[in-house]
Amino acid sequence: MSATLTSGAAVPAKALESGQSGIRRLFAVEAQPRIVELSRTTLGRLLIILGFGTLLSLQYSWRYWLPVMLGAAACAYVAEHRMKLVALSTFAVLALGPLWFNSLDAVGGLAKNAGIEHPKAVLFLGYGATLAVFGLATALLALHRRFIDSKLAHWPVLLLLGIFSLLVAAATATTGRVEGIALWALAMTLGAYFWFICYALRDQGSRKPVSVVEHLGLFRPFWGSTSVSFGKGAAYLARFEARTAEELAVTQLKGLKLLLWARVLLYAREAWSTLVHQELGIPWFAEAIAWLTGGRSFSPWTGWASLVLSSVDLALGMAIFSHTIIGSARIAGFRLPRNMWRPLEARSLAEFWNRYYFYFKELLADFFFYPTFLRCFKRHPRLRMFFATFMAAGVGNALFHFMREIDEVIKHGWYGAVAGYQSYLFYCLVLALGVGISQSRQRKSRPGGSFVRHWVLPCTGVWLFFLVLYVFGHEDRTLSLSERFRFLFFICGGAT
Amino acid sequence: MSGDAKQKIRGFIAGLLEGHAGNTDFSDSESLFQSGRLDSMSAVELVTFLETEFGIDFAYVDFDIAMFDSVDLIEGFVAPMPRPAAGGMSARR
Repeated sequence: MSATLTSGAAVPAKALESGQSGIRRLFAVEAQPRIVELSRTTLGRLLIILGFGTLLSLQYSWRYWLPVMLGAAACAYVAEHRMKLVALSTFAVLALGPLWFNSLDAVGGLAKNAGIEHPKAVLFLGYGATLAVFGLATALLALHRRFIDSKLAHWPVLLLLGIFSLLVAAATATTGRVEGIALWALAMTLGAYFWFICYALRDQGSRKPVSVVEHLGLFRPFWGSTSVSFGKGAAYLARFEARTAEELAVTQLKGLKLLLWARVLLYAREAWSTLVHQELGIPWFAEAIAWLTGGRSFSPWTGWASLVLSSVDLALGMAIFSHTIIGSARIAGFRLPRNMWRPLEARSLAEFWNRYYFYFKELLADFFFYPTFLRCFKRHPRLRMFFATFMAAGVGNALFHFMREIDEVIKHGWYGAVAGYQSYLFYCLVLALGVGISQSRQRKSRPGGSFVRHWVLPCTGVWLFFLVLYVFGHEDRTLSLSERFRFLFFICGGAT
Repeated sequence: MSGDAKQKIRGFIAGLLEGHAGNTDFSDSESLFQSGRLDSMSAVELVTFLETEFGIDFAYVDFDIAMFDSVDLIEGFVAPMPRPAAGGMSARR
């Protein structure tokens, strides 16, 4: 479950010569020596950075794009201090916007209930909680280094999960009191940085250990990230650093190209959304369910259209934000593999997740799949594989999202949060079973087979599975499991 | 590491590459996973091969597939390993 896609990050030249269609070759500017040469000059570098800044400025306010642009330029062209500059840029971006992961609205509500009306209260809480989490991470890294040979050091996720659970328990116990506000802010912030800390702990065993500051600089690095680390940790990132001026030029050209592609997709998505939802009147998925439960009449085909269009919109959104992040990292000199890479070509469920959300799949593989696979059911190969896959795609996936949405507990209480989460738990169960079965019957590539059997049928099967799963995976927690089942039953021709 | 063991690793990698309908020519230093020539399933198969063939217990190794990205890296990982007694597994940190 941990394949590394080359996704254009470091495609060898021979691939450019042999495996690319004419249109792809046309856009392969990084393979044209004259353009690469120009990119190595002062003028070329200036053009790349200005182009990068311009593209970012179309999407973000100056408070974000300006430090990212300057940080990327510094990281790219002062290579001997690249990791330190990454840290510096990350801290700068963080200082200008500490609430990248969540607006802490739920905590703001608690503050208001406690009579704290200061307009900047939530922002100060965000700064305080971030500093506290960075302090905790620093202490953990120091302890981990000190006791690296202990058994506990081999279970960074369990160790951190224990701390997170204690924090949430303390926050729950003090909800309604002033200290509860601080504890919830801390829990939510730790939840956001959880996997970054896990990668930092894991990387301490690598051959080239980095300083604590450099680890912290990769906690939601300045080029962007979700709670999933795009670029994993220091050890992974080090393998993708551009080492020569030519490598840097090629990497930056690919980054710029990816950012442009993200922009094209953004316009396409806007046009698509206008056409489909405003002109044709096809509802979004959540809207279609509301129509169904509200007794509004529409055909199952409209339901299918809603499902297809909403899932395409989700995929486009994922492509836009992840291409922007990876493109930015490449401008900074890291030739990271793409997060999303031709998901339509996936011939198995396992391959689909690898192509659709690479860094999340890597996270699940690194912290759930391999630790389980290397320790459990060694004498039962098929069970071993299935169980490890289940732990990653099912348990790890469910845990990741519940932690990320821990503020649901503040909003709805534990019962409400768990009840709202039941659909996602079901989604994880079905996904784990699907990927587990897919892994155990992995097809070998046989390009000699018929096109329909080799490509059309497997790819269609994967997308049908993805579509059906979308019904249960849609993130609107107000939609119950029974409503989702009812929708699925309806579009499959059943009466409601 | 004995040439015999290295040949076994090379033979196994060649089999994996063949299964991927790829070019089975590769050098000892060539990237296997990061280059995309081998995928996740191959990583799992490689782990199983190293466990059974060299008696490596990965339970307390901070596993990262990058440790096995080339024949040279695999050799570096396996070389210090004592061959297991029959049926036994030698632990390794």
